[in-house]
Amino acid sequence: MQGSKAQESDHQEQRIERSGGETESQGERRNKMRRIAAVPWVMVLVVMVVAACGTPQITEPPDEVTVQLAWAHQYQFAGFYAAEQQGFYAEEGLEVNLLPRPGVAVDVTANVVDGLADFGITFGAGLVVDRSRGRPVTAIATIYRRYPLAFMTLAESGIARPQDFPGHTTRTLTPGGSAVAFEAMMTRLGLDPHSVEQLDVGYDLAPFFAGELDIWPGYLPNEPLTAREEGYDVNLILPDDYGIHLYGDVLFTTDRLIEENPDLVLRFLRATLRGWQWAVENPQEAGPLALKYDSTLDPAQQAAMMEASVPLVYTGEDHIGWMRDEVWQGMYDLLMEQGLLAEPFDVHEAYTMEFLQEIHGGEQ
Amino acid sequence: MRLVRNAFTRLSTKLLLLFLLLAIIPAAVVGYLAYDNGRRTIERVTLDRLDSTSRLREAALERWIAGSETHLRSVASRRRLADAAALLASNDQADPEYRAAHDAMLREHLGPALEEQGCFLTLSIISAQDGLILVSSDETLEGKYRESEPFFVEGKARTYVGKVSYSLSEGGAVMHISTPIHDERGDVIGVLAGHADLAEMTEIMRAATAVSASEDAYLVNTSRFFVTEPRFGKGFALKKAIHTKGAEACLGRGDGMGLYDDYRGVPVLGTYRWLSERELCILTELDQAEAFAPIVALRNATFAAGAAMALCAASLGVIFTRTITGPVLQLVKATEEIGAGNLDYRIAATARDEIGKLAAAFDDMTGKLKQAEGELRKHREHLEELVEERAAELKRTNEGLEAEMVERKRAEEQLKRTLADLERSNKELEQFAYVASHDLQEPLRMVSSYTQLLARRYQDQLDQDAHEFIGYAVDGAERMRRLINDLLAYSRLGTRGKSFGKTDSRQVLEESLANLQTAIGETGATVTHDGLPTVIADESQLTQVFQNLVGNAIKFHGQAPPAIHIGAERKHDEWVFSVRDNGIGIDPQYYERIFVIFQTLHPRDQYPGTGIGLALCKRIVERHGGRIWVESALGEGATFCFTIPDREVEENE
Repeated sequence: MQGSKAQESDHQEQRIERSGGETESQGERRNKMRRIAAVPWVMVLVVMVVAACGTPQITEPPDEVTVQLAWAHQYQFAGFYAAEQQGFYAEEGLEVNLLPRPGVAVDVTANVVDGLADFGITFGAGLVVDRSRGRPVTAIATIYRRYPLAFMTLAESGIARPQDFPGHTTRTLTPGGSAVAFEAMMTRLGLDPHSVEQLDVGYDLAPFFAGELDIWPGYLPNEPLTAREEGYDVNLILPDDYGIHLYGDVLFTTDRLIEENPDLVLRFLRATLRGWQWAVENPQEAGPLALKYDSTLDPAQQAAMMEASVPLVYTGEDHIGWMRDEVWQGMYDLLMEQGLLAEPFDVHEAYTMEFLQEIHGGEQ
Repeated sequence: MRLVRNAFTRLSTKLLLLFLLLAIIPAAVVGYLAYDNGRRTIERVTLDRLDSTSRLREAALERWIAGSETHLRSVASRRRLADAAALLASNDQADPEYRAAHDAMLREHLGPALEEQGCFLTLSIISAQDGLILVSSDETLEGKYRESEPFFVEGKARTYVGKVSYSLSEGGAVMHISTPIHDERGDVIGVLAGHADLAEMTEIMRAATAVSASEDAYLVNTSRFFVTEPRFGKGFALKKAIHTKGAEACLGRGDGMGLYDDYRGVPVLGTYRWLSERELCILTELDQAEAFAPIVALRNATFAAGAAMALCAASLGVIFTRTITGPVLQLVKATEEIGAGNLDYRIAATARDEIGKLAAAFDDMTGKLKQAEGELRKHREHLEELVEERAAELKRTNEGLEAEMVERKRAEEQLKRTLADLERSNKELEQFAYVASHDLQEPLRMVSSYTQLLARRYQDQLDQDAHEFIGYAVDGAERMRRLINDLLAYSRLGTRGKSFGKTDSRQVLEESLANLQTAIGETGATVTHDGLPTVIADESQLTQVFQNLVGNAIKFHGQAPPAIHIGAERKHDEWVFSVRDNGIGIDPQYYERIFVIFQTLHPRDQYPGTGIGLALCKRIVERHGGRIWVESALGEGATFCFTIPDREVEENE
């Protein structure tokens, strides 16, 4: 007799009732709830009245913002794509252009300093080096809280820890990148970094699988996935396990923009972090967003790499984007030890928590 | 005949309805009250129950953590363990004694400790000095450093319970509990760290939920991610975030309860508690469908009973009407017979009651009726002949009309199809233009950015020619960027237009004049206008039309400072707006060309612009159902006119 519709509507009531302390009796609490339940209606009325009085007739044109990415378009920047394609930038009144980095010859920091882009993404340690050279750039958040570098070895080789490295061969290490982490890790453990020979074999994994070289410096969301897909059992030696804590991609801008237009920086960061939150929650959808910028990419592969990147962005400890003093200090100390810094300086100048604190209300 | 029967049916229907209402209303009222009351009771009882199980779970969780802490502390305080740890911390690994102490530690302490209480997956001893994992029940962890991990830093000073976080080297979500190891003098020599089994935490949350088909309980952290696995999800820990109203309210650091949709989008009754010490939310939820199942059953039963009662009442009603209305029925039959033309019919009633008398009077009436009927028939026959003639004539005319209608309809359909085709191809074109121009933006930006970079970076190495060439390239890219932007704006007109509303054209004009302030100031232009009407239009687009027309009038001025007049006049059912200037004017042969996109009459260096303005105006005006044209002669100023239909009501495109 009664339709199933009536039944459904019975169950779809939405109400949220809050109570303060635990000491209140159930009865008191319920009374309070009822009063609180009326509050939304009052708020709706107030909002409607306010909206009716003060609706601006013409919306401001969006602020145009350019971001210099750290590499070619790919899953690595999924949060930015999400912020753009989910409309988070538009909601903050921003029109964001994402500028890919066509090759290593392009100096990301220089492009931002020169004003070609307003924001840039670069390796955390790289930013410390830039700052020591007097480049006026400051990090506002770290996207990849963990440097995804992993030294990959074939399980059958028996190389399972850095102590096993001496006497073996590795693919060429990138100066300012994997070389920094490698040297720091070896030095920390009292091992000679030069005890490992570097071979220039390009980027093809075949010689590694063939055993022509022993150690492959790769990125967690990338080569290890390929190796497992191809059916190889590999060991991953992470610098993170040996006292080397580096931030991967950090988001930075110029000191000038922070000083002259902090509101723009705040809006951009807020929308970007929302984009990353979305990407972390929806890695399967977020990875392929890169295809809008480069249609030659493989969507399934982008999704898999984004999925593998999730723990690098969200670690469960702090909010997405959050930075810790000790990690910055650690990066500084390590670069100082290796003599990579041009001038000593106060590492606090290299980053600011101002915007993260504003967005998250000061809590981690 | 029909009329009489209807009147009678209405009478019995009324009776029947009355009986039905008498049966249904009390049943419905009682049913509703019982249902509402029951539902509220169930809601209250269920929420209270969920709240108390939530408290129980919280207590169980705390007990589990406290138990783990105690266990860990008791292991760490063993004298022999501390001695062995001291040996490991100070000795060289190459020392044979080291290996023996290492193995003994595993065999005598860590191994048995793991088995004694199943709350840990792994136990490790970390050197207080540098965070090195000296020995671990998970061999792969040995030799790694944990010097910056909170469970090490904090664990040196006190027993510490860490946050659930993602460990790269352990490849999953972990929670660590740690406690210091002291030597005989009370100095800290190491940290005993346990990797807690998160599956057990999930287990604790789920305890006793199995008795219900849908009861669910789980923990959520301050970043809204699941910490334990919910009942209806796998691999959610630290991977999936939750955006329900319950979680939202709880993360505002509060306790409470309510009705909302859970993470699956299913309506639930839920309670939430904020565990401030752990910085976690505990949510306990039950599907509303399950909670309210008993009351739904009650409601169904009430409905069934109500329906049965209604059926009884209806049957009673039917029987009742029959007995009362039997004689009346007889009368009705007589009326029907007479109505059918049988004027010889007689009732011959036997009853002596009021209905009997009525029947006799009825028979009398029938006799008289029969007489009158004969007279009437004659007149009618004549009338019928006349009517038939007229009807035949009407039919002929009708047929002619119908044929014409069919023809017209066919033509109309043809037109509709053509229109639809046109509209579709138009839409596709717009879409194409939008996509093409949007996608062109980025490569272009690359070209321009990097050319500029080249110029800036290699300023000193490039000669004059090179700088000039770069200038051309940047200039070309910039011009193309503007063309693309214009094309985007042009294609957006069709795809991104707003709906029409009441628009005060005077206000719109003022808005566009404000936008042109600089140009007006620079040229010393004077702008006057008549009284301007309120029209139904897209306000921002109308602003653009005025801005473009007035902007053009300023741009193409002659020797004298520009004098511009805006007029409006109502003709038939539309408003004709005009923008008159005293500028250089337009040769009549170009009247059409100026409205075509990217067509300019003058060299770029003389009058800058891409030639989009008038094309935009034309599209906007056409979108409003109006026309735009120009009246001018070379050197005599120009008057641009456009019309906006005067619509009374707001309507969408």
